Amino acid sequence: MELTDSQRRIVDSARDHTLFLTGDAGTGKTTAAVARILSLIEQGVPSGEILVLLPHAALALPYQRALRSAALPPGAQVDILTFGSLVLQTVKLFWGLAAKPAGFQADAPPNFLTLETAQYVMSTIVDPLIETRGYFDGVTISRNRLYAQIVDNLEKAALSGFPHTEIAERMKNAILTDSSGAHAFEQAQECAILFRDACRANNLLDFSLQVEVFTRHLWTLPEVRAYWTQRGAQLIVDNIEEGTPAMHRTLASWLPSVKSAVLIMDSEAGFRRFLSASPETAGALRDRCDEVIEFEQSLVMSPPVEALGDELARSLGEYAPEPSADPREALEYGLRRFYPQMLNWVADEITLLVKDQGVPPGEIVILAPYMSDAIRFTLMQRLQGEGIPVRSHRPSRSLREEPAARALLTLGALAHPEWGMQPAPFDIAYMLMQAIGSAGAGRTMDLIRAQLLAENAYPAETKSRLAPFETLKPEIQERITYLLAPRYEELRKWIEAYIVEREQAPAPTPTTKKKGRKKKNALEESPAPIAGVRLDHFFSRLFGEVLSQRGYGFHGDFDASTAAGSLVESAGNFRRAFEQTPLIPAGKTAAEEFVRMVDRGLLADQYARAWTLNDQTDAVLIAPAYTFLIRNQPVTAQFWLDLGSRGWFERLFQPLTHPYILSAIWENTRTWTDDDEQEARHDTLFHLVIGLVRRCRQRIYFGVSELGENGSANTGELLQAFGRMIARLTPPEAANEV
Amino acid sequence: MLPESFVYSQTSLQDFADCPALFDLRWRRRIKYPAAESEPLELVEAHMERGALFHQMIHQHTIGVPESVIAESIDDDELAVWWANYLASGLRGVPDKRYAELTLSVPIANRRMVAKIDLLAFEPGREWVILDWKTSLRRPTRANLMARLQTTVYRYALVEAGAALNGGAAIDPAQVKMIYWFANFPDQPEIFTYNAEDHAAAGRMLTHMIADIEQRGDGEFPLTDDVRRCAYCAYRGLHERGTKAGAFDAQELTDEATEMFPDFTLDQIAEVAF
Repeated sequence: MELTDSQRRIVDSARDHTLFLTGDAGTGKTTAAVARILSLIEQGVPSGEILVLLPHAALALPYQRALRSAALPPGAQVDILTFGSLVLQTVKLFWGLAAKPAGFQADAPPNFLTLETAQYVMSTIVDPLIETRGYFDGVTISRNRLYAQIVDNLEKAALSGFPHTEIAERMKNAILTDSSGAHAFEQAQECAILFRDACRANNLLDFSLQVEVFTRHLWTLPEVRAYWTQRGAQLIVDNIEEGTPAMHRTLASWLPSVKSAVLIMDSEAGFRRFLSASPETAGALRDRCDEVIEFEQSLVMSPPVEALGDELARSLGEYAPEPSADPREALEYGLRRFYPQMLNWVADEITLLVKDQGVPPGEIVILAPYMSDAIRFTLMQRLQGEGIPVRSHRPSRSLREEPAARALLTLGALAHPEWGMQPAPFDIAYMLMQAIGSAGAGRTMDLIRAQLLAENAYPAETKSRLAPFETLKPEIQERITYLLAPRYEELRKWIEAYIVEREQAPAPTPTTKKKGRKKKNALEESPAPIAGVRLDHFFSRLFGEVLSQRGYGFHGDFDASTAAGSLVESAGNFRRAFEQTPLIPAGKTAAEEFVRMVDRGLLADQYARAWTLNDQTDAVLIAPAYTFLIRNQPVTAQFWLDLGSRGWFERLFQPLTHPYILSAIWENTRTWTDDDEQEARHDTLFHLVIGLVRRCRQRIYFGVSELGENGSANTGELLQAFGRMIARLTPPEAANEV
Repeated sequence: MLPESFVYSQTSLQDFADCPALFDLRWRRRIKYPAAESEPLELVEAHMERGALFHQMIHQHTIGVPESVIAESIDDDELAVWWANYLASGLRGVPDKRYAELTLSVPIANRRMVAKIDLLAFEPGREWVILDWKTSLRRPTRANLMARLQTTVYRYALVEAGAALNGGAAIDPAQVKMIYWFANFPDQPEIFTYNAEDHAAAGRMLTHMIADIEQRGDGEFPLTDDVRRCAYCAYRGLHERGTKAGAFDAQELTDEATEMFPDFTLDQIAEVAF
């Protein structure tokens, strides 16, 4: 690849030099860093000494592409790590050195919590306080969001570097609120402290504790520093503005011991501020590097796109130079009265781009601040109807919303009558539809047959076990069809056999524990008795022995098998995290608690999402605007929808947390004013708009409808700015239309 | 078609050798199919966890965590026995310079192939020893180990990557050996030497195998004829080759990793409903 002079400087810089690269997105900094890695390897630097560190996984793509090329010489693999995985690896490897000083049991292994299992721990603390002492009575958000915000506060404290006991003080000092608001902050603080204590007592480490153990107890040890200094002697850190203060502090103390380093920072970014990204502490690292190199010339934007970005900036009240090209060459917009008309316009324009102008589908993205299922479905249907490949990046959804997972959970409840969960007849019918597939045209377990079967084989008044097919009235048997009957019977008998096997299982053998902990050896881990059911194993067996077999609904249905896989993983994580702890309420099992949590929507399908992160299909991407930004992959054409939405600049309503007040740079004596809020919104919108423009090569299409998706008129700031820009760029008679 | 960034490993190549259809589903199409692969699952899980802990303990030992600290973390008797066996004989006669959990990456047939080595012990100019810790309940035969792609891939990758590990000088294949060390049979390691002819043959075989995979299209990955394997395959229901998973204690090797993405750790991404 032809490199620019600036990029060549990075590649050729000395191997004992630390560099700080800064500039706008799309100016070739990452390309320069990749070229430097390749150059180091070609010069004989051991690739095992080169470490690429990133704030999050989605940024790895350009490095992975380069490092997986067959043209690269053989050697040790270059490590690509996120800061989170560096922390996790360190804590796992050096746990024995940190456990005691950090207040854990050194003779027991650490148990790492996922986001979902951390929220479960929080629920065991928050729920009793709400139910017995009326905590959070003035806070009008769902329980799940309540747990998430308190967990988030702990992470913010750990990443920003202030004690987790200061969360409420910061919030109360900064936000002028009435006494009930102040109480809510204090209650959230109390819950955060109780959560931390519960984690310590049970060797559970959520992300906040992993960071604390790493920063306070491990990164200071010579063994740990030596280990990472060897693995990361040649360090490349990209997008440091999306990193956290904890990452920046680690880097500040790491830099003096590296042989060389390249730190890369995008200007006017820091999109993950809500996850404690700190462009301010990132910027301070420039003083710790030998040389600062500015990248100025965009290698992505055409001059008209650059001019369009300047016009948008000006419309948002920001300074921008006089454009050197005509922004209208990069601008298209469709004005429609109704939202569906606007979506049709988008689909038509994309069809033209792909079919008439030869733009690869993968070079097109459709963006909105929120991407509803309805928008996604409509656009996917339209584009697929035109034969254009399309992919969607949706936020994860609750496991209970996955039909296959719901069916498995219903079967789980049926197979464990001691839980007393008694699925509703509709859930049974829904399960039968999913589990028992089609025996050919006209012989499908459709909703009518499924409801008929559920009503008769699982009467509402008894709600216990499924009845044998042969006990149903003959006319009912006939309506359900004898072709479907064997499948129902096989499934029913499998469940029955499972119940009987568990009822007859011997009582648990007392295990001889070493040092009072855990099991003695594998042979004593025979299938657990009723109280110790392993739900993930149950799902796995049921899937393998029945549901994935020919004739059943999961057979060959890879969406269903993927959802089932996510459920198995989630149930396994949950069980392994909690089955040995006292956090499971007395008289309950981890399996029951898992089902209860899924039913409450606490557990989300995060597995499928991770699965698709590296998807490189050449297909039109439909994604929320921030998701696209965070992937950091420029495209030829962007379609912006919902310009009137407040989602372009407004934060989610989060009454118990705050990305600025709980940050490293906040002065604890300050008050968060309306002006601060206004400025934050403006900065958010400006950075988002500029960030998107800088990731566009040729053209931006603005889809504008008078009425939004929900039928009401929206007049958010981006729409107003867009209107001002169009008024400047178009003749008066045309501008009046906007 | 395989993604542009796909990297071969001994696991994926072994899958292809065992059953092309398995390779297709697991690696080409990346289909999740959560059926049990062997039973009883409780025993399988405990064994896998113990195996992972054992590997981690040796990694800790290699990077200098004190033995007393590692020993304190042992939480069951079987693991304690393995650890004692390792301390007594796991490193017997191997050179002092060591890398634990080293991943080598080499180009081959217009792709890359990785080999994640448990421990590389070496004395430049004299000896390069690949150590692989096996925790299986049964000790595999020499013939079966020789037939495993792991034995070929690891030694081949080490020689190919040699210059990068050896200060720019190539490693003589005759200085390479691979030792399978068995935690349950510590005095019966299996040792495979290597030479230039073996290396040339390995290169030809791996190149041919990868080229063969690459030129296949949809529908060109047939099922294995050896139906005994199907009991241990999660996709057996899809191909109507059985319902029940195979018996765990009948498996010869039980500690092979089957990660889809062996070289990159994804963080969980905090949930934000933009």
